[in-house]
Amino acid sequence: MSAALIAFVVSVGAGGFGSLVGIGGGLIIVPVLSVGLGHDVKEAIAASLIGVIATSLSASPRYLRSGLVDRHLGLLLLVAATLGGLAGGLTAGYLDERILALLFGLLLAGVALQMLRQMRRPNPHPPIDDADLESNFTSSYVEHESGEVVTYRARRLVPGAAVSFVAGNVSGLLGVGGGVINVPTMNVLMHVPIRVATTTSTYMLAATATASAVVYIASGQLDPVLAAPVALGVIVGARLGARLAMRVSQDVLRLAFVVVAAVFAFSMIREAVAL
Amino acid sequence: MNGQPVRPPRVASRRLTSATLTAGVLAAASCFVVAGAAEFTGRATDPGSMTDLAVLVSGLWALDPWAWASLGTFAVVATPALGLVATAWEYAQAADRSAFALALAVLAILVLSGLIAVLR
Repeated sequence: MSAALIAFVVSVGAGGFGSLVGIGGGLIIVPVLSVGLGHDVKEAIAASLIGVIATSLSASPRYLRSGLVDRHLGLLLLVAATLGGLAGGLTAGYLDERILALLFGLLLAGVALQMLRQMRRPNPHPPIDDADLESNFTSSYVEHESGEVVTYRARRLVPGAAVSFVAGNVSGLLGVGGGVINVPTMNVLMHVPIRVATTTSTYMLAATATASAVVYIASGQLDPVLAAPVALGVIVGARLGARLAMRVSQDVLRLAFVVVAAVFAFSMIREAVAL
Repeated sequence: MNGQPVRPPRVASRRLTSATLTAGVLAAASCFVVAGAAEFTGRATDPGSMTDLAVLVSGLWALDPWAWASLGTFAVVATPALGLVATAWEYAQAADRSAFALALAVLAILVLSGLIAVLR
């Protein structure tokens, strides 16, 4: 099997899972391209960013049409996330990879634990009052399984935007979507329902990754022949994932996210310590 | 809630943004398919700089896989910005000033990223 075909097949799986849980697939693509297929790490990161954008572009139209994306909130967080993505793209290569890997691994472990706690002890969203209804960040969506209209208000906007800046920065530095940080931030910190958090995160990934991808392109670190099968693979996978996302329960989404975050946290910490 | 009806939210259309993103991803995918087909049929590839327009155009004409993959990559990167233009237009139509301003702010940051990347 040729390297391009392997990259394509892996990217189909990564794109499907990425759009399902709102993480963009970069967490899977980068290690496979660099460790598995022997590409330069920066080439792998750059190709992954193109895959992350493609994942978001492929899944977002369906999410937008279904009303599951909180676009107002997503745009607010994108202001911070794109600035972070630009900073990440510019600073990539100047920072110690081992420290980054360790910090990212610890962050992932913390995220997985926090999401697990939420599963075991569900925290219902705070009730909406009259003052909330005046807010631009009060929104609602229709729960596909029950047909129930769920109304919520995004809270802690400033801390949420600050974390989105960090997520954008990590995206630019490591070639991941940043959804692994955005989803729990929106869900746990800002009290946004998990389904809206995952779809809004997926919607945000394209612009976030674009801010850093242009830096990689201009500096000649992107190999389009590698990026093509990756992007094509995630486009196919993300379409499959977006179809499935409407039918999968919130608990399953949460559990899948916890498992993936825990696995990658372990592998990143191990890699950081072993370097 | 005091038994009062929930105020209907100001809703901006999402159709144009959705159509723009779909068109962009289809255009990119088409270029990638052409690149894959050209590589599969053994077309010679001559990688150059992605920012050299003359090399890119001649490569497209010669069905060079690298050139078609580059064009697809440009389509991928340009689509989020075009999507934001569509979003800003939709919010302008809905007279939602704050969302309109947010969409323009994100668009401005993407343009700034491109400028910094090129001028660096």
